[in-house]
Amino acid sequence: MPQETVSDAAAAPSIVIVENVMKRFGAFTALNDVNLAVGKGEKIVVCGPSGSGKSTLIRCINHIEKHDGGRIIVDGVELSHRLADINSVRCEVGMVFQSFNLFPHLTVAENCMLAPMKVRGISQVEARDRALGLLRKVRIHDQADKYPAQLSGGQQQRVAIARALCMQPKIMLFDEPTSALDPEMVKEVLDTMVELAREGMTMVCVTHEMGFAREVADRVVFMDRGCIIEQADPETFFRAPRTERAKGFLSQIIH
Amino acid sequence: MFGVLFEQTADGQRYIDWLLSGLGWTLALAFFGWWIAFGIGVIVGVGRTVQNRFFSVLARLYVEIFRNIPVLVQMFLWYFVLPEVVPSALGDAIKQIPPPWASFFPALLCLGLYTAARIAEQVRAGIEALPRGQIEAASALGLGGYLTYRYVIVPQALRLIVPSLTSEVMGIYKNTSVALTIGLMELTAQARQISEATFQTFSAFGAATIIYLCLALIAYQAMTFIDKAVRIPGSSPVKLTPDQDLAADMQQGTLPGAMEAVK
Repeated sequence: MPQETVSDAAAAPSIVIVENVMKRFGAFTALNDVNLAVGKGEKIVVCGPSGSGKSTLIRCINHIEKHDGGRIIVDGVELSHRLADINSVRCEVGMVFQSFNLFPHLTVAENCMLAPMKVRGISQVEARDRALGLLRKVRIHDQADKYPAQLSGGQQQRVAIARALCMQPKIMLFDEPTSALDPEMVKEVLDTMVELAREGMTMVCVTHEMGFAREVADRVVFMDRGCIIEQADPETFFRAPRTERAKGFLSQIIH
Repeated sequence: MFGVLFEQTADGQRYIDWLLSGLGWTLALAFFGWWIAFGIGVIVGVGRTVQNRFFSVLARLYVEIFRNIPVLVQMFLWYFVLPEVVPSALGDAIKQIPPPWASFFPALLCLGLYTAARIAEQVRAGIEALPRGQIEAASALGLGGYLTYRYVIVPQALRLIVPSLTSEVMGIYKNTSVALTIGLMELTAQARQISEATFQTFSAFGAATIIYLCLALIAYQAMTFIDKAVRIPGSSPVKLTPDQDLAADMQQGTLPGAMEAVK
């Protein structure tokens, strides 16, 4: 029952803790005193108008952006600005970008094998086995020896998901994974994400795909102007948003 | 016209042998100089882009010094000045090097280091042209600075700059002619020697010119081949279709302003 999943997830120990986090870009405050705890196995959808800080928030979780204040603790390691901490955290946190960011000079399989071999230190044979296994899971293993530019956007994004999974992360971050895709390719990527969610992966997704949020999210977090304004389970959030800003936002994206 | 090249020289060779020997030195200088330049150029170019201020300032300094001193002056510095400024034991050792090598090594160093500064700037430009997302994706996978440069950034940047490196290949082999000023008997020096021995100035330098031109064409073809060989499958260079061609526009007079110009 969905209701139980929510409470289970809430009771689980937090794998990501964001405490009073501040982030400024010059005079612009991107994150203003943000607090968020992500339970193990929990699926969170972050939404909000553009410029609200949702991407910045998840980019801070793996330290692609440096937070200026507050604390971020991932899997028990506090993200100080020390390199060793950052790299150990990044190994446990997979990230999927809006623009895929595959390495164009490497084949699909090599994209998936690079980090496991060079960072985790596994053998080439093992890395390829793992890569092919995960490419099979995202239903793209027959393209393993092609280059990213030879694939469609949806296929590239699924490769990007497989590449992140090859590091066997404990958490997956998705930064608007379907926003750069042609409409007919959105579904194949979302299906992959749904499947991943069903397997119990901890996920934080920035997305405007409200169907996806309804289907898998344990919690929807709504951000505006660098703050978390509202968070609730998707049913409550979509049916009865509490704040005016959330109502305004929902009325614009749900036609 | 080039008949003189096949005449006997005073030392029993033919003049063309002088030219070929000169060509050998030119090629040796350009070839080995290129690898020095490429190796140092990539390292310094990467150094220009790293976060660490010490290394980026050092790399900047290298580029500014070696790029902004005329090659001829650098040639003299390595050949005449270096043996005087190093400890005298080392200076004496340098002066003991037997003739062709005594000119060859300073020339090699000079051209290698000078061209390296130019290549470094292109490597930097190539690195800066890469989308930020590439670095972010590498970071997100836990790749550290060295691994990111080694496997993600440099391989892509080098592919980007192959066309502009063509100019550097041509540049270094043309600059080898400066080595004649420190006594290396490379192609230009040999042409001059033939001209002085035979007074056939036109034939001597004409032959050298043709050889330089042929080398340029070979270098160009080789670089085009490399460019094709390392091109990433699925990506293609920007090409206009025939109907977008500028020449076609001009012929049809559809180029903005072209009609007015014709009237």
